[in-house]
Parts: sequence; C-alpha cells; structure tokens
Amino acid sequence: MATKGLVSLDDVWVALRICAPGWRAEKKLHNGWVYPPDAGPSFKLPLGPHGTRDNVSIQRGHVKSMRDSSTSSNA
Amino acid sequence: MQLPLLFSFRQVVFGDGFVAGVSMSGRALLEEGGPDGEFWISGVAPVGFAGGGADRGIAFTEFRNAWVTVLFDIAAESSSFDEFRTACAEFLNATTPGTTAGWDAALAEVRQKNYVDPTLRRQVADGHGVSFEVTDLTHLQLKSANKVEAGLELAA
Repeated sequence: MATKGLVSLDDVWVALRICAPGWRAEKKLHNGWVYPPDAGPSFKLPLGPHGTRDNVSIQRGHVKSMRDSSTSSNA
Repeated sequence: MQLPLLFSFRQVVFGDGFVAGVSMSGRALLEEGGPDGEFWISGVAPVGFAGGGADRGIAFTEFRNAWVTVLFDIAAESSSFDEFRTACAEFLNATTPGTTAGWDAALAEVRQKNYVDPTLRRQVADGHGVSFEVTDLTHLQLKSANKVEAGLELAA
C-alpha cells in the first residue's frame, strides 16, 4: 500500500461529528461504515490491520472517494 | 482524465454456518494523478468503497481487497445464508446519482476521443450491465465450476 497522503482515522471520525451532522459511523470487522443522513448507501473506510487499530492512518483517497460519492449530503 | 472501468470479481465467503459464492460484474472510475500523484479506483456500481496506490496495479489490488472486506464485514454479522444474501444485495445494488453520472460522463469522453489505453482491454459498455449473484455453497456437490475473473476492462 502507498504511504503518501495519510490521514488519521480518528481525525476523520471527529471531522464527521463536527462537520457532517446527521452522518453516523459504525465500526465493523474490517471497515468503518459511514451512513449519510438521507438513508443513501454507506461508505466504507478501512480500519487498518488487525492488532494495530489504535491511531490508524488511512489513505486520504478513501475520504476523497467518500466525499465525491456523496450527493445530497456533505461529508 | 477519469476512466470508466468494468470489473468482474468472484469470491468465496465463509460465514457462521454457511459458505457463499459471490460473483459480480460492476462499474468503477479510475482517477490518475491526483494531488498525491496516486491512482484511485472508486466503486460506482456498487458505490461506497475505493482502493488506491502508487500505480494502477496497486490501486486494482486495493480496490478488489476493499470489495472483499465489505463482503467479510457482512458475513461476520450474518447468522444465516439468507441474511448474508439480503445484506449483500443491499451493498451490491448501491449506487448514487452523482457517481453514476460521473461514470457516464467519463464513458462519453472515452468515446468522443476514441481513447485507447494500451494496458486495458476495451469492452463495449452497452449490454455489459451491472449484475451479481450470491450462491449458497454450503452443501455444494463438488464438481468443476472454475471461471476466470475478467479483471479490469475499459468501458468503451
């Protein structure tokens, strides 16, 4: 996996709470599923390798893809 | 330039008390050379996951892994094959108008420019619809059913 453009997943959760009210995140086995407020499709952000789930960094492209894929709400 | 892609994946998924086979023909968008100079493939049909990296090969591997891990998430929360199939259908049917429009626009650009990519097979998009199948393999009678994934193709 590339190492450029990393962002803290914890920062993503904080940003969602502050900047995207109504969005809801749920951690599953491999991904954090992020649900928009309009009951549209959820977006999946990788939680990182098992055993290293604290302070995980993910590629910024995942967040960009989530933003680009959302339509009626802003993440 | 964004490239409209067609993909076909097949995956066996082991759940709690069931084994399922998931096959899918879907659509995705490849974006090259963003701010980080990386390659990213984002799901269009289904939408909601992506994979990226320093080159197309890494992006494709990460994209496919992302698709698989979503299936594993669903399997981990399903107590039966029927539950798994229902949740899979919700995931595999998911689209948004914005991403679908983006894919259509990219396809129109490929056709307008008669774009040819030396690393991607061309596949006529018309008639190459989005489809998926979730099969219960729990009590599979063992017989040959091997099929090779098509991988990535350029929609044209």
